[in-house]
Amino acid sequence: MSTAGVMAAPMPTLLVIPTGIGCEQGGYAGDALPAARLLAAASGCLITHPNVMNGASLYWSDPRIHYVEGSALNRFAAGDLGLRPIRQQRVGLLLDRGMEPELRQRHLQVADGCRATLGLEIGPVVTTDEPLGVSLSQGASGASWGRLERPDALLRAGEHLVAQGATAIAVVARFPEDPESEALAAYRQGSGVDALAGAEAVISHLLSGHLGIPCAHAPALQSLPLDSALDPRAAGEELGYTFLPCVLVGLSRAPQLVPLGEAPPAVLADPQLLGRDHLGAVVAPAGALGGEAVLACAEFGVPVITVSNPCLLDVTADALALESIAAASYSEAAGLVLALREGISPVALRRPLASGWPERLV
Amino acid sequence: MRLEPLELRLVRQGGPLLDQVRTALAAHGQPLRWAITAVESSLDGPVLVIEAVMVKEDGCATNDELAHPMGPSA
Repeated sequence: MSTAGVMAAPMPTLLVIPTGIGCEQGGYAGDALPAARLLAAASGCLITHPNVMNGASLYWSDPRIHYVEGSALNRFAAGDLGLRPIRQQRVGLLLDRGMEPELRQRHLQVADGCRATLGLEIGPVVTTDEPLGVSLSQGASGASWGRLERPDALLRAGEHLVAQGATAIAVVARFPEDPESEALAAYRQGSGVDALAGAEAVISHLLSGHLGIPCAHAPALQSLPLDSALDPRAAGEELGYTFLPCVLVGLSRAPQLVPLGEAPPAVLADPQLLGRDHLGAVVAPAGALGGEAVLACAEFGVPVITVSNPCLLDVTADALALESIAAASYSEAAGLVLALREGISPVALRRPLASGWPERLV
Repeated sequence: MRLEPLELRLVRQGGPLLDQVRTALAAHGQPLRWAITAVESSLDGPVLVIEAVMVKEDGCATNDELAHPMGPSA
């Protein structure tokens, strides 16, 4: 019987590119999106996070890609959460009281544009009762981190949105800015760390962990002056007045988060429900394997494909004593994912192929 | 509620890694986000450097006040 045109069933694959560590690919404005699209095609089902997908004004919607915020991704990888695809989320908009009126208006117009042009269901809109007070910092490694002065105000606003019917939340917080900073100049020229990313992750982790629904964040900033040396990887963030469109699009079809310990049998029996048990591979930068999701997958026995993608960190499979399959690029990683999906051993694709069998005592 | 940065150094023991990290972080509160950002060598074995942001309820000691033997820092 001919098997031409027949493809193996989708193999759910997790793609992690940690934010705020200066990854050469994925450390800028959604510049890992081409890799995500390729891995989605190779696997038939890709689970990944906003840092991979968010290109500010640029985005890509693919039913094979599941957009899951980082803390939910960690809980999914730990086996605590399932992901249930749904047709559309109702995305509530949470705005920081610290935003200037004109900046606030720009964001409301993005919400209007996404309703009118893309048909997204957006609303209600809630403003925090106090400014969130975002501050940026760097760890000893150089990774970007950040804090909020008023995390309680964020959670109150989120609770209000859920009470009003939101099933996912887009947060827009006013971020501190220094247009003259060397770090920003380096980032725009393609050689620096995204200084905002760590604080963004803190905000979405806090809210998603508290509410148990999909959340993602867009920073509110004034537009920057034209930079003729702008790196193409950062260009997505300089096309408009906000970073919000990609977040609204991503959240609009983000899967529902299902706590597996509390789900009724009918939900657990849903054939569309994705759990950690379904994962066939996790793909991560070779030097950034020390995050919760990758470690949880590795300890559960999910094959780890490590991709050469230089970043600030050097936390490798060797350093952590993890088993892994190395790939020189995301193209090669996609080939490995396809091989696993088709039941082809990655070892068989490499040369030299080890010969002989080590003798094992029984 | 407040958010605080934390840096921990943890000598790796045998066995699964994730539980070791989670247990070490739990001594400082509730971790919101963390990552192993370096692995250093020492006479006692590999030392994991962990950067984290912790959630603290108002009234709890700060990470500096906890004076963890591995030496907290921002």
